[in-house]
Amino acid sequence: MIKLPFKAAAALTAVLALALTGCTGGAPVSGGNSDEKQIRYLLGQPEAPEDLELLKGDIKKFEEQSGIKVKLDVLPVDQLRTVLQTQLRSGDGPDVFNYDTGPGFAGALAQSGLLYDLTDAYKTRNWKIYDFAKDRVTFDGKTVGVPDLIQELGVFYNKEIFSRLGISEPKSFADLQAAAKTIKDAGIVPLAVSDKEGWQGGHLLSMSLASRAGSKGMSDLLNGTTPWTSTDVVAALDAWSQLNKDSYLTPSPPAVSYDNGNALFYSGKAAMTATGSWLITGVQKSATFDVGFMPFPGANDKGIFSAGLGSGTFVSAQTKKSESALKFLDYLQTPEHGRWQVEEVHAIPAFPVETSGTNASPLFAQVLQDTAKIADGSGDFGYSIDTLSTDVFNTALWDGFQGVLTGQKSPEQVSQDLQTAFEKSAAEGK
Amino acid sequence: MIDITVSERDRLQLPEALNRPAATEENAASPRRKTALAGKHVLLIALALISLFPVILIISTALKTEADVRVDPFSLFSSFSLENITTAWTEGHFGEYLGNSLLLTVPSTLLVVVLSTMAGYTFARLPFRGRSVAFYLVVLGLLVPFFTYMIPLYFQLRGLALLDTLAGAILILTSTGVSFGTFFMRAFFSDLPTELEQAARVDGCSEWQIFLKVMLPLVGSGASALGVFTFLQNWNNFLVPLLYLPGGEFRPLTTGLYQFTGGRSIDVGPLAAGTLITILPVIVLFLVMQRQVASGFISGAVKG
Amino acid sequence: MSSGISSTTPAVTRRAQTRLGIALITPLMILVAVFFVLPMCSAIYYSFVDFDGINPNPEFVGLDNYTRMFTDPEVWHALGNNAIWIVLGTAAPLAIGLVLALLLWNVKRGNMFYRLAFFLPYVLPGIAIGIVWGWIYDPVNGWLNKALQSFGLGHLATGWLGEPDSALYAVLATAIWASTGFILIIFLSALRNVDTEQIDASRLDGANAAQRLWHIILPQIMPVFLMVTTITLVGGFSVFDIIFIMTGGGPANATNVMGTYAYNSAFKVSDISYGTTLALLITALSVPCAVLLNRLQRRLSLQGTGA
Repeated sequence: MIKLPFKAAAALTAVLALALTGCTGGAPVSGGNSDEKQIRYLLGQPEAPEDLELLKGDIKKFEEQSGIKVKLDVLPVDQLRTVLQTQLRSGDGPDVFNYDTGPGFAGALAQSGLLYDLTDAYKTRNWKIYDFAKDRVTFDGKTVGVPDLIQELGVFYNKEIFSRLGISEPKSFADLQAAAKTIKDAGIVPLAVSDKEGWQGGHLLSMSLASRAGSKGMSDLLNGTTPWTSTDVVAALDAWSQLNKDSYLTPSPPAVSYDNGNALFYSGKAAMTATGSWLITGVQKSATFDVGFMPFPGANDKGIFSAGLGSGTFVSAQTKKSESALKFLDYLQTPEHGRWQVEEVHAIPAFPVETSGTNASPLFAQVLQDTAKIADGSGDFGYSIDTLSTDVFNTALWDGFQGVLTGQKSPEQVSQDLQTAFEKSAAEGK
Repeated sequence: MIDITVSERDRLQLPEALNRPAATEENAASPRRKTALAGKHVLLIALALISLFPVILIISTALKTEADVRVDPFSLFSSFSLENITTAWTEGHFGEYLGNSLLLTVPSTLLVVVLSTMAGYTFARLPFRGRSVAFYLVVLGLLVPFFTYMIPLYFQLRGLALLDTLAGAILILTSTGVSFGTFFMRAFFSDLPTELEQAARVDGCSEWQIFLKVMLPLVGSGASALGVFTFLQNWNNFLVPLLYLPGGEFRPLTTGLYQFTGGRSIDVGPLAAGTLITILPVIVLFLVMQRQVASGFISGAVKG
Repeated sequence: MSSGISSTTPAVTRRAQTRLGIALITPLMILVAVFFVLPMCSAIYYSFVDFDGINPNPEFVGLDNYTRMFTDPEVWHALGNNAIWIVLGTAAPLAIGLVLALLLWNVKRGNMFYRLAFFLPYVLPGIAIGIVWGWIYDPVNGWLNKALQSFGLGHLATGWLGEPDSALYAVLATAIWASTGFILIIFLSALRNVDTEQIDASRLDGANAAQRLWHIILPQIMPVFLMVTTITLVGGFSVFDIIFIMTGGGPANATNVMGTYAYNSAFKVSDISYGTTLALLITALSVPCAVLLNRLQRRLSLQGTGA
């Protein structure tokens, strides 16, 4: 009878001894690496998980060329924000990191003096980032980052289903509705729209708004010349609301996760899906049919694509290894790296890349041609709202879009909420 | 003298109910009872399957091909491949994370048990001025959501040069566990009869000896229950390693799993495989310890 | 049974006890002071300034965060959801756990399998729970809708996590699924200590199952029952993880509770001060409940188990 408790006591005493030594001794202390030849590089989880392996290979190339070691740190994107801010502030953050380019993200960090000023580096190192992209990472006259990719927002469609049902690319919103009806009658989900995570709302509104308001109208909204209560915004929201009410979207889009929405498209259970050009990798991997990419139609025309800047690479103001960090930025803009980006990751660099010899698929080639027009100014493109807005505005946008899809809010109410959030951000000087 | 007391006490502690064979299905002979029992089993199996269904989905996903997961994540056992498990183990470094999880969980669990036992004894049996203030301070930790103070804690940790160290993460896991632990262990010590320590005192034991030799042996079941409970909590803790081990060098399984959640997409196959790797040690622990755990919790509550 | 030390304790002993007591709790108190009390003080300080997580010298704003909190309609909405969560999220796992425990009680064959089957959900990592239940609740291909259709209940199918009317309850159901196993295991062991002779005797007296449960079984496991209630109830105030993982508080805030609202305010909108103020309100609200239940539990355990 006495055995069990006694054993436990003996164990506890042993534990006590163990724990005490374990606590004062043993525990290794890391960090505080002052080796000039090693930089810490923090980035958010890449779009497609397998891209991470590709990225590691690319970084290895840099390490071999430069002799600089890169200690890679990967964080889920939604955690990146919190963790990065605390790290930068505390001075033990990464030397180089990847972050969103918009005013709510890099802009906020720049405002607090947490980012290394790259204005001189651009001149002396002859970096060739497109001007429009450079402008987006320039705050108060200081350029603080190197944008690393351009993304396009639009609608992917299953060419097989379209041709089987005799549908061609819609030339107007009414066309889209008619096509959706045909598809729905055939027992297929017309448009796989997911909005469970919430951020999709930003892209969905960007698409429809670009085609309603045009690039000029959209930039007026973004710089505050036109209020968000304008009829274009209401109409752009209403377009999605109508498609939803007519059951042309996935039922209850706010219940569908991004992956489950994509799975519907990949498996041919949905004819279209509305998202960004980053899906191309997934399409090439998982779709067994030909896929086309088109803009979300405007009221009376085929509409325009929205293009946005993805993330960029930034250097911490507190880095002690700026020389190595700048070498890393040099590398990110070499033609080899650009080609690697295009060929392996299917991402579009923010500087001119010779793509003629690449083995791009027709789908990706189309996107490449499109985006080249942004750079030379020959194309008309809308904006990706959320990359240009503050967190307060984006939250109103994401919540509002869900509200429209669930019927909790009308498009008019949401446009009013957007205006309120816009004014609030402006008042806070963001 | 002490030994006799202990064994007497011991008999008291294990109520007859525990040792006496309960009325079980084997004794239930009548046909009516047999039918009732069969019905019970049918019902229980149905409920168990409902409870297990999501787990079965995870197992199925872990064993599907990557392409199948991507295109048809819903279907059960629609393809077979070990690639997800290989991916989790090699590319996902789950072997390494398993080690890190142990490095974090085992010491913090032991610390929680030891500190809570010592404090529980004090709060139950060693009165002194200011004791109740101290007690409420400790137990307040039960009621405050962690995210209320997780940011200031970050700066605190950096100030102590404990950021991104195993020691720092272990101490935080410990400090989040001791509130419950102290509350729990106090209940155990509260109920031990005063005669015990008085007898020991007459015997010439010092207060320290009374604690160590007389009282401590009597709360073994409580301490092991607390140990298992804390182990589970710390094993599954996500925020602490995420925030306070930013370097990734000591990444445990929980934050390791998050590596498969991309910016927008989630690499579900390896994530499911990683989940299996994560819960396997816990299942083993459950099978080995569950009887003890539960009985420990009970005596704690009964004696409250 | 009293744990009090009689007032006749000699001064020498009392001094020795004080010395030992202080020695025993010192390590713990240092830990609590450094890793809990100090950061909590900073948190309280945050609630009186306007801190966005970046600016190191935030502006002092007095009670602004508090006035904003009490006039914020989303706070009341979130508190309402907390109330639903506390009531259902406490009652359901307790009731289901008890029923399961009674079913499993005295079942010998397959006992371990059943226990493991019901306990496993409790140990799954949150992210896995979120994904897997996403497949169950999905409006198009989800298992739940498929199951409803195959039982001829197709008209009940809906987009569980995406409809404001059903989302909170859908998450709650998952939470109940995930937590019941733990409660079951505790109840099962409590039942092992129940005096079966009394039950047999009452059966002879003609008491039915409900009467036996109410008059004999429940009183005997009441202290355990209350301990579990305390843990679950207090957890209901600070519920965060599972909602955050499954809906993030959406769609359009429909499933917001104080925890998710505080978290989103602090980190999504970079308003750490307001988020912290909201979190402090959760704490303030849960204290009285915890104290009350703790008292009740002590009183019951003093009456009930001395026998």
